[in-house]
Amino acid sequence: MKLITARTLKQGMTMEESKLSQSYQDACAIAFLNENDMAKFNLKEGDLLKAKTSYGEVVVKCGKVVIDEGNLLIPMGPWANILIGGNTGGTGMPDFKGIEVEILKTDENILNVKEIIQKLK
Amino acid sequence: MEIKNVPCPFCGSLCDDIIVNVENNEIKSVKNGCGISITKFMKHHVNAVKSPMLKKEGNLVDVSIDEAIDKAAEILKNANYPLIFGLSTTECEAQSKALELAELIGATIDQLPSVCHGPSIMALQSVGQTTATLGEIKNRADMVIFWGCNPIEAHPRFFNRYSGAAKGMWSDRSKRYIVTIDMRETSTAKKSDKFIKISHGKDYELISIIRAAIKGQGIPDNVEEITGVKKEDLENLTNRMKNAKYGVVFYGMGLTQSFGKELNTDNAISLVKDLNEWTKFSIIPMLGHYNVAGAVHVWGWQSGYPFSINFALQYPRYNPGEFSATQMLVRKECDAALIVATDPVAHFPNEAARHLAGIPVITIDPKFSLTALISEVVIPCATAGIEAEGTAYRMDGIPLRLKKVVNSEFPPDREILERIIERLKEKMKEQ
Repeated sequence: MKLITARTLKQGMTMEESKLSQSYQDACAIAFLNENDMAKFNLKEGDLLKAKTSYGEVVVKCGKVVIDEGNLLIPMGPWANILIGGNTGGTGMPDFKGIEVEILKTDENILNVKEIIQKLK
Repeated sequence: MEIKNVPCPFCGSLCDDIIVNVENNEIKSVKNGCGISITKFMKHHVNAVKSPMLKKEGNLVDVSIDEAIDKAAEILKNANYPLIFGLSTTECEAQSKALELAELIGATIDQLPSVCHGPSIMALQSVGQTTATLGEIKNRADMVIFWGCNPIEAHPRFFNRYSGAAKGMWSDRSKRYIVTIDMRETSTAKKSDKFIKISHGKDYELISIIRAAIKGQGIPDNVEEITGVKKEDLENLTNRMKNAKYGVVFYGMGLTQSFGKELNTDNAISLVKDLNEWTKFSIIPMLGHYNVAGAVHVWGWQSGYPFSINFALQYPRYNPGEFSATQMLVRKECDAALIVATDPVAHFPNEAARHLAGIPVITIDPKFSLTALISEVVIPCATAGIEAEGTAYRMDGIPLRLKKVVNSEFPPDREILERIIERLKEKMKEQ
């Protein structure tokens, strides 16, 4: 699948309150995909899925959105960024949209921001 | 007390009609703001940093502001290749001070376009830009195209206040044809007259085909196979573009972050340039943070460059591919970082954030950002546009004066940066 990261209204609102809040996690630790893709991966809304790229893997909640099959939309934030690489192709701009991502249903937990930060070190 | 005409310090729209009701130095209500704006004003104190802090034995502990500034100056003095990053969500005066500091210590200084609209600025430098003020667009535009942007979610009042549904002197929603070109049907697409769904990453191809069509070349029969867009829709679009009296393209990170990046924006600007042979057309990048344009102007005056500037050779050099904060961090080149009014740990690729977590970081921010949590020094400041006044530039390059509506016990970013510069100069003399 192709990973697309993007700003959403909920991401913007919760970010302005506190990035340490549960509401920020609810707004950002979520991946939206097409109904047919959800069926293909045996996922329903609220299930947990693991997304994996060549740069990292992250567990997020599954959400439904109108989008082409084969695309996975994750709001910008620390969860999406685990999947993004630092290569900018000489432009300074990382590939925040369009990198290859694999998904599968999981029963692992979503990391909170403090756990993500712990893993940075 | 009701304070009127307050500019909102969130996005590049800088809506300056916000009414803030303040009692006993507390914001009681906000009128006219979008959901994000109301949250920004009403919850500016939530998760706030309460005291300057230093990391001691692995924990952040409260210290005096003098001690925090001294430590910040010490870290920057000892660094061989420091990075200064952020500043797109603070006022121009702080941006100016940060550049002065970068020059003093031979740092690399970068701001948020390197992860959002950098490719727009790079394209502008190579082909120029046909631009307009948002007021002119509101009053005159009869065709509005949103390309790879979703202002209903990212700039929530932009559609009604400046563009799609704005009531101007000679144009309004009934006289305006609105098109959204995007890979998905966004909230903005739903409010448009026409949604054109493009295959992801095919913007460059589609723009090139439109440019050729405008110049009289036929639209290829297999255009849908190439771009995902129906030939009939493209014929209609190009006709409407040529026949508009005053058109405008607003574009976002759908162009700048997808494959092609600055080549996409270069081509989009060139399309608008071509259209001006037929009619009046403008193009404006939808800047997400409220003072990206301010840093572009201020650093442009001071150094000649808008972002990704390096002072290691004691004169400014510009190269986003080399000096963007992401690149500096991923290559593990910088050995200390000063982060002002932004949160790279939340918004940078994890690979870049990992290096940041391993070097001394100084964070100046009113809130506990994720970057503050990995910092050696955290200095709280007055939030620009709420607790401190200053200048900010709207996405169309119009400067507006931010207002102070409540007091803060902490100084604004510009004062903190000035104090770090003074302390640093003292330390340099002591050497």
